[in-house]
Amino acid sequence: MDTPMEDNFAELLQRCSRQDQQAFKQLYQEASPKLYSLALRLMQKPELAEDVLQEAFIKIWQKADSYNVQKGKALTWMATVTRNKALDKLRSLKLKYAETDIQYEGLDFASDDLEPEHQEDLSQEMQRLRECLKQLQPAQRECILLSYYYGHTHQELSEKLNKPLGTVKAWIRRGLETLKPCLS
Amino acid sequence: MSELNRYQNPEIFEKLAMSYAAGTLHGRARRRFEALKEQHFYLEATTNAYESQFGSLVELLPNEKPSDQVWKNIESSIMADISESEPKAEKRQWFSWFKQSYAFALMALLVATLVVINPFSEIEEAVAYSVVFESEDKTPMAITRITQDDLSVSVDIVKDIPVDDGSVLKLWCRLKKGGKAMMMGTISKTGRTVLKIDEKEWDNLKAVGMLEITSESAKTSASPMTKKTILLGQLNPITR
Repeated sequence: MDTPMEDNFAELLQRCSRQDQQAFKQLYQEASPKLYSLALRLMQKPELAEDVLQEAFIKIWQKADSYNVQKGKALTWMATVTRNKALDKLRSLKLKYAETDIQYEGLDFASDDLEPEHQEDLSQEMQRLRECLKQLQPAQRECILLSYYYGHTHQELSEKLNKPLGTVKAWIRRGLETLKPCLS
Repeated sequence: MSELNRYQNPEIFEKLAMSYAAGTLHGRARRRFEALKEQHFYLEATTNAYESQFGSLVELLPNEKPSDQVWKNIESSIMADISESEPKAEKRQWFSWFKQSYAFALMALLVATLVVINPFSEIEEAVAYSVVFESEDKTPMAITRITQDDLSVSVDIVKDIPVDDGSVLKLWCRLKKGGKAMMMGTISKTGRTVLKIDEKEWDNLKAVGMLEITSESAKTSASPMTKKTILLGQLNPITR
């Protein structure tokens, strides 16, 4: 079952596709805190994260008519738009994780011991993904989540975790292999 | 094996799509995959499916508030966008008028007319469909693409399908609302088969949810008693 918020995002996107600016403002107000949080982790600098958020929302407005439920949930579609904008920007800036003053790191927010009331807010898709992620070894899970949330390369993970590059690559490969049948 | 063939192998492209969506594909490999994804609809469809799954991870993030200036910049940008777009402004006026109208019958008539003749209609239509057929153990075995421009159904068998020599493979579709499967044609056990469809069949695909490939004896007529479903795949619309 969809969460009430998720239903709302899909409906707001549909209204955005009809150029409804009030709906777009509401969508921004409700979805931007999560999307900005994602952009912050990927970009590490608030000013860059705000640039990404701005570009992402302009694209969301322009492409709202291309969203349909078959592309997944509205929030995950918007997260993908934001994440791809962030990765494009990182690529264009050739910004390296090691060159920034790290302000956002760690995976405390993705720990297994969520409060029950917080778990109720999660969509069915996220709860299913969490169950799949629990099947991974902690190091495999950590590498995949750090890659997703922070955009770390294998080399950066190797340095951050102080493990050989080959070990990190193997963790990720085996982690994804374990996830595949669970997600299928 | 050429690069194209490598990427047509579901075992390879599905791993790459998953890695791309999870964010573990970097550098030149990521750029190369993006270029191929633009060209090959099945890579795009598979990647979208995984991006949708990993995208849920955003729900776990704590909320962070951006500065108010971000919304101001977005607002001024979209206002400029709207003022440059005459047809969109026209559409907005139409929509406002609809909202205020209580003449229900007249509205229904106008909507029906707009759907049929409005050249500015932005109702999103599929331009193609893709299907990745999987075996019972979830192994990708075949890829199908259905394209509007040439009204064709192209089925590529990418892994050996274990079937008896005396059997034939048939392609079927199942409606989203359920009911009996409808046969689309007989396909080859290896390589590519191209089936032609007509405009009406293309339109009917909107109601289709799944395709399936069955194996059955070449000597018997198709019936639920003699055919065995060996591969199943969800029909995914591709839009512009």
